[in-house]
Amino acid sequence: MQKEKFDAIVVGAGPAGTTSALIMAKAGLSVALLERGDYPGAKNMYGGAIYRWPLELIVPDFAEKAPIERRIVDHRFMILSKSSGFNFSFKNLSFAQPPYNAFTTLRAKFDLWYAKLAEEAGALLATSVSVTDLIWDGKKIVGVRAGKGSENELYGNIVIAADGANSKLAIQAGLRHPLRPEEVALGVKEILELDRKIIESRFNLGENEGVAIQALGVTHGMMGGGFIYTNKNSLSIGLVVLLEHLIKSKIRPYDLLDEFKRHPLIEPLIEGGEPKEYSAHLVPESGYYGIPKLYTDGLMVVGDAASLTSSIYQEGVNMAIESGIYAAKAAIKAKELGDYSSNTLSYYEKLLKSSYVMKELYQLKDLPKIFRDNPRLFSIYPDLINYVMKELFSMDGELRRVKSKKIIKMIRQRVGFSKLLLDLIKARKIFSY
Amino acid sequence: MSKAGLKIIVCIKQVPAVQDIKIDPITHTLIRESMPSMLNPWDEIGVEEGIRLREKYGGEVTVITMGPMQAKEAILRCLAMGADRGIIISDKALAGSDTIATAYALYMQIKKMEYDLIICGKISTDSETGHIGPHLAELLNIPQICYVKKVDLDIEKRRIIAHKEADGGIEIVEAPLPALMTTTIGLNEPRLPTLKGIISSKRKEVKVVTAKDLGGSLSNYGLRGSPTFVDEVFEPPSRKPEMIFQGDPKEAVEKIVQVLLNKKLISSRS
Amino acid sequence: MITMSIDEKLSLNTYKVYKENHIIVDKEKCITCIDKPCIYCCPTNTYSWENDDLIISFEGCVECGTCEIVCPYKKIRLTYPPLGHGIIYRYG
Repeated sequence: MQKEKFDAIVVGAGPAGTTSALIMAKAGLSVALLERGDYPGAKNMYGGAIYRWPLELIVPDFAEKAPIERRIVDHRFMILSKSSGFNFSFKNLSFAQPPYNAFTTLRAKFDLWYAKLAEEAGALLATSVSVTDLIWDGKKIVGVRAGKGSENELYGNIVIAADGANSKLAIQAGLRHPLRPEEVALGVKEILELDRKIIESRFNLGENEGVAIQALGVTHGMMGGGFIYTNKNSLSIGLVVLLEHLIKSKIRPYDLLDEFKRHPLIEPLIEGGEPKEYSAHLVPESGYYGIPKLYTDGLMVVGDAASLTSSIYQEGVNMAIESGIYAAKAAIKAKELGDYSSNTLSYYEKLLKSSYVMKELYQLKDLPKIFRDNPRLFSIYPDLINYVMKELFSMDGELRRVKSKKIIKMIRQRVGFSKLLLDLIKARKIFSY
Repeated sequence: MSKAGLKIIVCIKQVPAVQDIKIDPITHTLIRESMPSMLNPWDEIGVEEGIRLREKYGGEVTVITMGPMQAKEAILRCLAMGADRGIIISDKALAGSDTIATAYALYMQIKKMEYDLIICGKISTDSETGHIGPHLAELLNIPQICYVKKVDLDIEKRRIIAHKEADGGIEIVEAPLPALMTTTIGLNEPRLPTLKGIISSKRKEVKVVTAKDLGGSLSNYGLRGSPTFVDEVFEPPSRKPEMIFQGDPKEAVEKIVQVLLNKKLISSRS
Repeated sequence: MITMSIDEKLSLNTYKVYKENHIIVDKEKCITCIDKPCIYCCPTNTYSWENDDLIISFEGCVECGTCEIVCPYKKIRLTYPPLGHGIIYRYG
């Protein structure tokens, strides 16, 4: 029997892999989309929301068809200290109107829906397949293996590694080193079921409207933060912390999550929520400098596997999708040329370099290091802001002039003005690109 | 036996994969929403045995299930293991079938087919009745051998020779083909599907059969064809532990043994 | 119930537990490893230290990969449970 060979084998049916499988299948390539979960999404977890772009490029009417929970109209920020919070929100009602802007959705539902689209387009979706190794022919990657023996081999002209943050395939292909604790964060999350009416009145939302909350100052100075997203009739509450800092802190991630849930300003928001699921996942945090080499002979890396995430605006799924588009385009070109070497696949990198993803990550390239090396950002400043606010708003007969002196003294004690100045310059740098 | 070789039919069922099954207090039915499911382990053994017999004597293995379309996943698992084709009997008119109505639907489908051997699981993990196999054999009017631990065929004489579990031992039973057997644990160790198997399962034929396709009177199917009714369903109250032994495992075990000895639940015949 | 023990959290989840452990640890360094970050960084409390031995309760593992990265000696290898076994997120 002749050895079967696919045009492309995509490993991982998350947003990146499915996007590339979908586009390649539509272009007539033979595609195997392999997923190690019981169904696409069974192994996946994230904070809670996807942006409309660039998904709308691939599925223009996805807002009607995708299993969407709520449309985000309100982005809230909470800078918390022990028993107070300096909170602000950006609410835009046009976000509640088509074409909308961002959506909450649950990955077990979304990824399954999305992968079914790739299947309808002609990709062969095989679930419960755990790829263990790449198959090489000399220096060229020619397939994947999911166990021992020839019965567990699958051949393809191109392998697309969409196997997530902790990508084993990118490492095997020699494109990256194993992730280091300073390059990756751990996210933990709980789903709390809550009546949709309660969610809408508690968060001041209309029907189908949702809120995304980011909380700073809840990680004991570790780089990271808490989040709450509203789903249809549940809340996603969790937090993300850099592994390097978690190792040093010796705090257990689930204890930190419980502490966040018990915070006096958070507890009322989640009260009555019935826990339904507890999940954990890695998040690449290294930004532009953490992006590995993106291709080699017969293989391309996409999505989280290529560390394409930006934590400041919670971007991940959109970047994964965009990278999936370009990898598919490169694969289609390679098929046309009949050349699957890195020579042709470099087209993927070229497309990505002139894309939103790469340009944005390049602009923000210094952020991860600034965040990582600045513990002040995640505990001292949140405390200070809350202290300043408390002093300014509490009425005890003390003149504001006296209070100002106290504030200045406190800043000097906790940070020092030279450091504060430096941090301000850095902050200016972040927002003035 | 046709020239194409042995025709084996394996009846399978998709069952919930989780232990903590929840029951709807009002409708007395299983809450199946978003519950992961799997191939009933006894049926998996049946599929494995069917494939082994085919590998030995040639022929083909057809798997049949009745259930919601979601049960197609269980069929795909069998096809990934190596079964040749699948049939799913799926129709709203079949909902609420008890074991009598289910066996009847299977009978109506199978009687139209060629077969030498039918394999059923001993029981399913969700309802544990063990009715389907024997009932189906009676409807088809063929010999049945239940709880088979070891099986072989005599192709020349068209006979099945099976070792079956019996009270206090093993019985060796022979019967003419076509026959029906039910599996038990120990018959074999089912193989894991390979990557090629999973890929090819997506391309094998899975035929969908409706109640109309089955033929016969609709009153024999589904709830109407099911004389069984569920009077009451309850979750057994979780029992509180009588005693908890804590501390060093070795000491705790010694304490447990002492308590059991004192209660004369075990004896010390060392 | 605002907060729960880690065991209670894990009991919410759906797993198809595979019979074999999918976490491979070369334990030669464990005894000299002072901090043992795998134990406190793991979000599912999979690792514990009992009688000078690293105990791996793999049944509750959600296959995130934290242990691999935090192990100072890189002696932990997370493989994935085969055939769709392991964690099955219903929400995610």
